[in-house]
Amino acid sequence: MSMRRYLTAALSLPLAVALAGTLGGCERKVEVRTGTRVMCTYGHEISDNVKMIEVPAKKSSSYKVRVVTRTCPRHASLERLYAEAQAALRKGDLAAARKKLEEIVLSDPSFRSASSQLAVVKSGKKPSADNSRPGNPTGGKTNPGQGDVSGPVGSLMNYTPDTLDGFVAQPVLNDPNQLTRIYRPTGTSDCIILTAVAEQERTAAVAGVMLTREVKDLYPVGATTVTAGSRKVYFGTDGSRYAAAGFCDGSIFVVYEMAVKRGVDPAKLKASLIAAVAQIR
Amino acid sequence: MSARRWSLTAVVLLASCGTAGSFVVQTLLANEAPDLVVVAACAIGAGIAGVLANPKDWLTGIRTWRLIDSWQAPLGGVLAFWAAPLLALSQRLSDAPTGTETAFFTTSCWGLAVVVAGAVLTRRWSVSVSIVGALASVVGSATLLASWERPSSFSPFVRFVQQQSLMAVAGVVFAVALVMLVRQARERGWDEVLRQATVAPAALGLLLGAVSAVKTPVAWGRLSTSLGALAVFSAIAVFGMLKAVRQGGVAYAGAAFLLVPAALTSLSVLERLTGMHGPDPVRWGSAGAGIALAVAGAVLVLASAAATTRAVPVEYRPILVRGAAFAGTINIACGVAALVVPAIRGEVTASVGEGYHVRWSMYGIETAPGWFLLAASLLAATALFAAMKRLTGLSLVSSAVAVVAGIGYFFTLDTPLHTFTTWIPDQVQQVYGTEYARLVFTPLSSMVAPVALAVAALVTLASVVLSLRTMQAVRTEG
Repeated sequence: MSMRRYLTAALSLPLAVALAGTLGGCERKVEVRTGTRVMCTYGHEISDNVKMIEVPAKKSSSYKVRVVTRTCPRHASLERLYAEAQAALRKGDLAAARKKLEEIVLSDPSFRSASSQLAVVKSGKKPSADNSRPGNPTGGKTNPGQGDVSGPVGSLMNYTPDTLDGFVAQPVLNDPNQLTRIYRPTGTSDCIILTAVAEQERTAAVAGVMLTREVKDLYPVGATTVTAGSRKVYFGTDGSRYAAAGFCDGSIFVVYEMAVKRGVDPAKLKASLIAAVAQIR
Repeated sequence: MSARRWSLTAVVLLASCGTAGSFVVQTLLANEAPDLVVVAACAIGAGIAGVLANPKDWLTGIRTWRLIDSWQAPLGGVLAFWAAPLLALSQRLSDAPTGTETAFFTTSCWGLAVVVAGAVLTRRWSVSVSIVGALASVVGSATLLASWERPSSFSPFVRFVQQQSLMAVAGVVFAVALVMLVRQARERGWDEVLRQATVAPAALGLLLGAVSAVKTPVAWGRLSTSLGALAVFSAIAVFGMLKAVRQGGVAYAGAAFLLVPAALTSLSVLERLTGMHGPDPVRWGSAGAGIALAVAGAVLVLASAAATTRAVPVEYRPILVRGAAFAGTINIACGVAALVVPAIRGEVTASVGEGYHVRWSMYGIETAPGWFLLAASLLAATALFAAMKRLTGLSLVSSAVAVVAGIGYFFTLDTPLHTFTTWIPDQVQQVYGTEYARLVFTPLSSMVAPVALAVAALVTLASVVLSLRTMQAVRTEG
């Protein structure tokens, strides 16, 4: 066989392979993440059967991670007891309310305002009934933007922890590059609500710009830098209703904002706000 | 290297720079002015090149020319310098196909087509080696274009398949037209052919361009400079190419096209050196490997076009010849195997819609490392075959290019040759590179790569030894 024929064969082989591949010999298989993750309205995971499976490439877009938010049996039971306790408080039946509240606190001391109400009842006074709505069970439906943090924003979860001392965490609200979580205070305090926001920026420089623009410029009163845990955190207020603490972790920008009751100086919340930030791992 | 070869090399580089400049300006003008007006500028540039090629006798030659007696050269010129550019330009929509794909299909692929046409025309064994060199250069250019940014927009034959195919077909039209001109030049002489082949497209382009400009308003104030620059770059490109073909052969024109992606990238290098630059998206590791192979492949094309077979007092025993053939075949088989094993893993994580996460393996044929391994194997086999044919210079050049491919392989391990696919949702693919979709490529290891490289290295070494032995024998006899 001559050299020319060897060369011809040599050039023909890869061409044949390329054509065979292009014209579609084998159907491609890919691994896609799919399954259902069930989250409780109180922020913890109930079940997770998400896994990677092999499917034909053309069908990969049909597979996704489905997130369902519902109230777990334990919290549903606690909500029922809590509702019964509030009904008893409205009726003025402190004994019945105390019994219900003790049952709740035994199971979960941080559940809504149960601990603070129990403390008031034990002191012989009548606490006001809590008329706020419980966590919102969705009955199996997925709320877009809520719950699924399996994408790039998954790493932001530790800035919006499931538990914060003195607060009850509500479900996470997620945008493509940002997590927002609301925390309700347990017990009586001057804080109405705590809002935590963690946002992934493109670079650390951009995160710094966000810290200046969204925190330092908007909350300039009483500005100071304090140490919270291992971090340097900026603290300031707007002088009327809000206090904020903000910091940057590389390209991640984090701000914790507290709203205070009317007539209260937001600077008084500095200690509790910094304590909340210090709990971020 | 002789003065003639230096001169030819300079002409090839000139043609390449002219083509690169022409490509850049065409990119600016695409969709800004009617295609017929833009191509008219290219054709007028070709006309200017014809005048520059032989200014003394140009006018006399045109006066005495009768179209009815010699229509083949004008036809060839119209096909090469008007029809082929028009076909390519007409496939350019607004930012589609992408700039990298357009560069690939209108420069590298044209170069391959021209080299193949030249090999068919010449029918010398050594020139068929030029096809291997052109293939290696195309692999290098594809890797280079796929490394201009990450995630890359380079995904040939995934989207806009028809447009890309027609751009490549335009290259075939150009190559066939060039062969027509060469055949005519053998009968009538180059002066006459050059004259007719450049005047015809210029006249046709001017006429149809004027008609188009009347029907569709053109912003002459804004575009006249660009159109003028296009004519100048086209003149340089055509002048250089025709001169190279005239003095050296069709393969030289092919080499000029093959060097264009490297020439375009050199603009980025110039920006870096002069400080006139913004963020640098180029992945210089794999881009460097691509540039090296693209240029080395073009060098092999030039070397094969210049190679001559001569009688040398070296005879190889039949068993050695058979052994070399067997080794070369095994070597090529290893290279082909590299195309069919998984080479890179792709992973996409997106948070658009309801989220999407997928992992898949890309075969060697879809990746730069797969093609680099094939190129190294082909080049090593070519070096061995050339050594057996006693073409020592060609063998050594091919060996050197094989080494470039082998080393370049290590810089391209995570470079895919297409980013987009037909099966990942568009809403995910259109946000690649943002916080909404992350796309990661990681190399996969297999036994094929080290085996292919080792076999290619052994074959290359054998061809170098044989070549040096032959050269020694020639010196001893001489």
